[in-house]
Amino acid sequence: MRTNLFRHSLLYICVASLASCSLNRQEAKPLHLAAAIFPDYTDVTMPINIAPPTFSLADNLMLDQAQAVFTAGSLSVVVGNDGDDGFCIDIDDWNALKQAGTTINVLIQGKKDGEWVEYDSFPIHISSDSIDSHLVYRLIEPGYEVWNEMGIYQRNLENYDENAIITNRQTDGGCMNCHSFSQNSSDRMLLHLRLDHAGTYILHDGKMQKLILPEGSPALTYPAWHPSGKCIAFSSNSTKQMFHTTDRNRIEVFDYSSDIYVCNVDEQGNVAYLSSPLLTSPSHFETFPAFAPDGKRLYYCSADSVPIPDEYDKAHYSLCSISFDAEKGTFGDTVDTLYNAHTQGGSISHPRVSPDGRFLLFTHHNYGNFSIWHREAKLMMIDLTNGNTIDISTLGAYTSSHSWSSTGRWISMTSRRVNGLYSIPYISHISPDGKATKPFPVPQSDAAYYHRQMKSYNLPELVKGRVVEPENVP
Amino acid sequence: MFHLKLSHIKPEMALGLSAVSVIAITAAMLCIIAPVLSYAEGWCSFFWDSHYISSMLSEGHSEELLKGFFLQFFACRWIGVCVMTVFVFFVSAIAGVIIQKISKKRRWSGAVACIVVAAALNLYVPGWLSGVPVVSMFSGTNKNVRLMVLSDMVRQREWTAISDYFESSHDMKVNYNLLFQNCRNMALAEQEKLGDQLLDFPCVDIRSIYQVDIESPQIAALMSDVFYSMGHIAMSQRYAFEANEKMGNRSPRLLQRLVQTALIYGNDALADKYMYMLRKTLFYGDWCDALKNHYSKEYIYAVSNKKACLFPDNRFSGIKGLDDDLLQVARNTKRTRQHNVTLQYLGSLYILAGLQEKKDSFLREFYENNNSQWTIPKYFKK
Repeated sequence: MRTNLFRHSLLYICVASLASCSLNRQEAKPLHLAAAIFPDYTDVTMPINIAPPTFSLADNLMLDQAQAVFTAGSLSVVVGNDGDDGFCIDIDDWNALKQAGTTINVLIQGKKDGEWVEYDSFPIHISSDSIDSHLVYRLIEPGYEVWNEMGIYQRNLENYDENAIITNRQTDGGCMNCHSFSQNSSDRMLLHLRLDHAGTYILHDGKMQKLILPEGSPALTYPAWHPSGKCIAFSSNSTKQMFHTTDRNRIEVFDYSSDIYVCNVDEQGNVAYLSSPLLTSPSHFETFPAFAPDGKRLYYCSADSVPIPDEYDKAHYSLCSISFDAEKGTFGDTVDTLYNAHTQGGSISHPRVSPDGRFLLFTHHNYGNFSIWHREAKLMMIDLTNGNTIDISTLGAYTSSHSWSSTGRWISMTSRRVNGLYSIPYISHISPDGKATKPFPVPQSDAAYYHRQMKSYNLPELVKGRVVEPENVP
Repeated sequence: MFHLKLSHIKPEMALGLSAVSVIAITAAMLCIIAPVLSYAEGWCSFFWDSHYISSMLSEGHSEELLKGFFLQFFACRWIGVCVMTVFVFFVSAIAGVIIQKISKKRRWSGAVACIVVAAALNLYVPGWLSGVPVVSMFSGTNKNVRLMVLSDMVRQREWTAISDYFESSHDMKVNYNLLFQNCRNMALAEQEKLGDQLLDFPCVDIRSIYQVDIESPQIAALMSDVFYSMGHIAMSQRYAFEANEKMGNRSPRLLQRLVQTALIYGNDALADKYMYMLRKTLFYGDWCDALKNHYSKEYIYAVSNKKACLFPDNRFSGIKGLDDDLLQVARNTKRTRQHNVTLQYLGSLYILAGLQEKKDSFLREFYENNNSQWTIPKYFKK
C-alpha cells in the first residue's frame, strides 16, 4: 500500500527543483552499457522541424539522480530527469541544438550510491528534410465489437499540440473511420460516419458535405483520392470479425466479398460509380485501391474468393494494377501483377505510391488483408522503375497502416511492437534511393505518454497544414 | 436515578456528544453499505497522476474525478469507512462551529447543526458515489443492490459466502434471476460442487450458466468472471476489455483481469501497460508486485493455473460451440485444479442444453474410464 505517496511526491518536487537549478555535465565512470530508453530514440533520424523527443530510462539500475546531456557542435544542454515524465528538453533548447549540428549526441548520466556513472551516448541524426506539419489519425481502443469514445485528431508535429477534428461525442456516439486526403492536402478530408449519421462525408473549409450515393449502390469502405481531386476510388467490403481462442493475434478481420469502384463526385456531392469487371469479379476479392500520382494507374490488392470464415487463412492477396483514364472514366483491359502471392507467398495490403511515383510501399503478412492484428506484418517497398524489391527491414515488424509525406522523404506508420496491442505512430526517413532509417515514435510532451494512452492510433496521415474543424457536424 | 437536565449540559459537552454521535452513526451506516461502495470502487478508481487529473479536469470530468477520489479508499473497506467517517465528521464539525458562531442560541445550535449535516451527508454521499439511493442500500429486497453485493463477492472470490447466501435465500426474485443464477453456479463450480447441486436451485437453461450481453459493462464484467472461471480465457479477456472500454478505461477490477489474461497469453509488455495504471492507484501496487512474482499465491492462482486453458487447437471462439471450446480446455488442463472446474461447467451446460449424446460422450471420456480421478457428480448421472 502506498500511503507514503504524498511524502514522496513532496520530497521529489523539492529534489527536482533543487537539481534543476544546478545541472552540469559530471565527471562520471562509464558503465559501458547502452542506455535503454523508452520511447526508443537511439540512433534515429528526425526531421529538422520536429518537436523534441522525451524519453525515460527503461532499465532498473535505480539511479538516485539522472540527467541527459544533449550535445550538438559546441552547444551542450543538460536536462534533469522529471520522474515518470523522463527527460523533457525545452523546445527552444532543442531548436538551438538542431541548428548547431546535424547530429545531437545524448549522454545519460546518473548518480548511484553517491558516484556519478554514465551510459554510452547515442546519436539523434537531424535531417534537413522537413516533414509535413500535421499528422492526422483516429484514436480508438483496440477493441473487439463495441466502442465507447473515438475521434479523428490532428497533431502538430512541430510542437505537442493535439486537437480533435471530429469525435463521436459530436455524432451521437457513432463510429467513424477511413479519413483520407488528396495529395497530403489538409484542404479536403474524406471520412465515413457509421450508425445514426451513416454516410461518407467530405470536410472542406469547416463544412461537412455528405456524398449522395445512387439508390442501392454498394457501401463505400477504403478510399483513395485521384490526384485530380474529382474522383475517389473505393473498395466496397462485406467485413466481419471473429476472435481467436489461443492465437496471440486476438482478432481476425476478413471480407466475405469485396469489389472496387471509382466514384465521380460533383460539386453537390452526387456520386456516379465507374467500374470494370476486372475490379468486381465474383471469383476474387479486390480491395485497398491506391492511385499513382499521375492518376493513370490504379493499384489494388486481389485474392481468390475462398470460403470465409472456414478458409480465412488461405486468402492470399496479390498486388495488382490496372490503367485508368480519368477523362474518359475507363479502365484498361489487362491487370498487371506486381507481387504474386501465389508464387511469392504471404499476402499484401495497403499499397501507397510515393509522391514522385517511384516507390510503392505496402504491408506484407502471412494471410488475409487486415494486417493490424498480425504480429508478422511488415512493410515492403518496390521500385516501380525496375520492379525490384527494396530492403526496408529497418522498419521492423508488427507494422501496418502507413502514409507518405508530401515530399516523399518521410513515411508515417503505426506499430504494435511496444506491447502487442496498442498501436503507436512512428516516422521514418526514406532517402531518394529508397533507404529507410530506423523509425521513431512521434514525440510526446512526456515520456510516459504512451504508457498512459489507452487508445490505438489508426491511419496516421501526414498533411501539409492544419485541418479546419467542422462547424456543421451532422 | 440519574436525571440529566439539558440545561446542565455545557455547549462544549453538547458538541462533544454530537461528535461522538456523528462518528458512531456514520461509521455504522458506512459499515452496512460498504459492500456497495466497494463494488462501485471496482468501476472507477483514482489515478495519482498529474496528467490524468489535468486531462479529466480539462475534459469536464471533475465529478467523476471526485467520485474516484472518495471511492478509491473502498478498495480496502475499513479504510474507506474510516476515511469517509473522518470526512463526514470534519464537514459536519465545521458546519456546527460556524452555526454556533453565528447563532444567538448557542447552547444546542452547533450540536444540532453538526448532526443534521452529518445525516444529510450520510444520506447523500454514498448514493452519489455509487449511483444507488441510500435507502435502497439498506433495503434487503432491492435486486440491483443485492446483485452489486454478489458481484463484489465474486470479485473477492468469496465462493463459500455466495453459496451460503443462496442456501439462506428463499426469495423467488433472486432465485429465478439469471444473473443471480450465474453467480451461484460460478461459486458452486469454483467449489467443484456444481454437478452435485446444479438442480437443487432453479435453473432456466444455459443462460443460468453464462450470458452473451456485452453492451452492459456491469453484466460484461460478471461474464468475464464466469468465462475466467470456466477457463475460456479469450472470452474472459474480450468481455473485460469491452466493459473497461465502456467505463473509460478506469475500472481497476477490469484492469486487473486484463493484467491476468495478458500474463496468461504471455504478453508481459501488455500486462506492464495495465500495471502502469494500476500502480498509479493507492491500493493496487501490492497486487501488481504479487503478479510480478511467479511464486506468489496470487500469480499461481490467477495465471499459472490458467495457462493450460490455452489449448493448442486454435479456432475462433465459439465457432464450434462454447461446449467444444471447453472440451478442449478440459483436455488440456488435466492434472490441474482448473480441470474439474471446467468439467463442472461442461457437464452442466450439456444438461441445461439437453444435449444427451454429447453428455454421454463427455461422461465416457472424463469419468467412465479407468484413469479417471473423478466420481460422476449427482446430476451428471441422471
